[in-house]
Formats: sequence, structure tokens, C-alpha cells
Amino acid sequence: MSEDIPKWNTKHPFEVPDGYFEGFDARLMRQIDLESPEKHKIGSKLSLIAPWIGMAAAFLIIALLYKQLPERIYPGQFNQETISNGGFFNFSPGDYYGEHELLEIITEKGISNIEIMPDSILFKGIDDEDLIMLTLFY
Amino acid sequence: MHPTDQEILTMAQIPRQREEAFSMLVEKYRQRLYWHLRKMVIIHEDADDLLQNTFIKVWKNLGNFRGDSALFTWLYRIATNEALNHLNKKRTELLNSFDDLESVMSGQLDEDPLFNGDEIQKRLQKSILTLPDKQRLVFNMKYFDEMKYEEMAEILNTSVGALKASYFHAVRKIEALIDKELF
Repeated sequence: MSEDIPKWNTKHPFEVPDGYFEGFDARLMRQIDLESPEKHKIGSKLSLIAPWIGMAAAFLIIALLYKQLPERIYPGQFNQETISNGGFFNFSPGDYYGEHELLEIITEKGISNIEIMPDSILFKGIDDEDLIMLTLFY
Repeated sequence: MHPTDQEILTMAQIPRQREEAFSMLVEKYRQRLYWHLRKMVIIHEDADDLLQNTFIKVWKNLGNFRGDSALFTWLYRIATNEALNHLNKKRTELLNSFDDLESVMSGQLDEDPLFNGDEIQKRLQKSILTLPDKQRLVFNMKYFDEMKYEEMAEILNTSVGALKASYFHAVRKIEALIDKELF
């Protein structure tokens, strides 16, 4: 087969930006660092579990604060014994009486003989009669 | 002066010298591989991406390179596969378009600020773009790089006879196109 072919212009007519080849090696090594399998592997594993580690740490901190903070602010008031004996809620006698029973108690004993608990702060400044009326119409 | 391929490969087998061997390899072959890719994909940015991909693959496999083929052949094979895969991908992207890849690349040639050829060279490049990818590859390697058929046969994993026939037909097609002044 003949290889006697025409020669138009064997110099290719393309250019590269100035300094392209000089800067190529550095760019290539940066790219290889980014795509390094070892780094990539470690990075991907960490990135997978990082949110879960963060979430677990947040829960742990909240749990510690919930448990430790009240004890530090009010030492001795929130010990385990109190909670286990008394339960989480301290029921007042009022929780065990119906409206009519409460009315009878107030009528019989008079309001001065009844201790107003701190959660009854709404009733401060109310005298006996008002309290009886409120109890009746409630 | 560049180290020989054998020196580079010997160094690459020693883990603590592998990076140095790789740097030598890049310095020795970056320009030849770049021009090989550039002539196939035309656009500098594409050639740059493909050259980086080629060397990244080389870096990942350099320690396992057994030397069954010459280093030069292995590098050209990787770069050639990168170029052919890139062109196939581009063609797939244009499936739903009215344009074909050849006309897109021809247009890019017109607008390429890094093309510094005259009108005849542009006509030649546009004629080359009408060839099928593998024929274009053969034409570029023979015509511009003046590569031996035996070397090309190793890189492209084909016979010398097939390459000669491919080149002969490519030249005839380009001659006909230039003679007709279709561009």
C-alpha cells in the first residue's frame, strides 16, 4: 500500500495557556491528594458517622445537665432517696378530695386553719367568702 | 535529561521512591500525552481534564505495573481510552440534540482562542473531525506524531496491516474533502 501521502502541514495548530505545563505537576498532585484512596476511605467513614457521634454527644450532655445541674444548684434536694420514696410528683391533700369535700372542710375549719400551698398563689388576696363562692360556682 | 523508562519503573517498585518516580514520569510524558489528547478532543480544558485523569490512573496503578508492555505504550493506552470514553460520553449527551459531535467540535474550533493555525490548517482539522474516532486517532498518531506502525499497533492493540489500511483511507477522505473545499 502506498504511503506516499501529501504533507499539508504536520505542525499542529494548537496552543496552551502560558505556563500551563509548568503548573501542571502541582495541580495534578493536589488532585491526587484529594483522590488518594486512603484519605478518601478515612474521610468517607468519618463523614458517615460524624453526625451520629455529634447527636450522641449532644444527648449525653443534655442527660448530664438534666441529672447534675439541679443537684449542684440545690444540693441535697434532688437525691435519689427522695425521688424513689416520694415519686416524681408530690401530691397535696387537695388532689385526693372532691369539690364537695373541699367545701365541707373549708366551711368546718375556716380558711385561717387551712394552709395555702405555694401553687395556690392565684388565690392570694381572696377571703373566706370569696373562696367559698368560687368553690360553689366552679 | 530525562531518566529512562526502566529507571522510572525500578524506582516505582520501591514504595518510598514511588512519588519521585511518578514526578519524573509526569515531567517526561505530560507534553506528549497532552498533545495526543488535545488533537482528539480539540478543547484545551477537556484535554487538561483527561490528562489529569490519565495520570491519576497511572499513579494508582504504577506500583502494580508489571512491565508486560513498554511504559510509553501503557501511558498512551490509558490516555487513548480516556479520550475515546470522553468522546462517547459527549456523543451520548448529544443524543437528544439536533447537533452531532463533529459539528459541535468544528464550531469549537472556530471559536477556540488557543487555535493559532491558518485557514488551511483549520480546513485540515475540520476534515480530520469528519473521520470516525479510531481512524482519527490513527491519522493523528501517524501524520502529526509520526509514530511507527509497530508502536501504534501495540498501543491500539491491532495489526500493522489494519493500521496501514485505516491510515490510507483516512488520507484519501481528507484529500477529497479538502479538494472539494467543503469548509
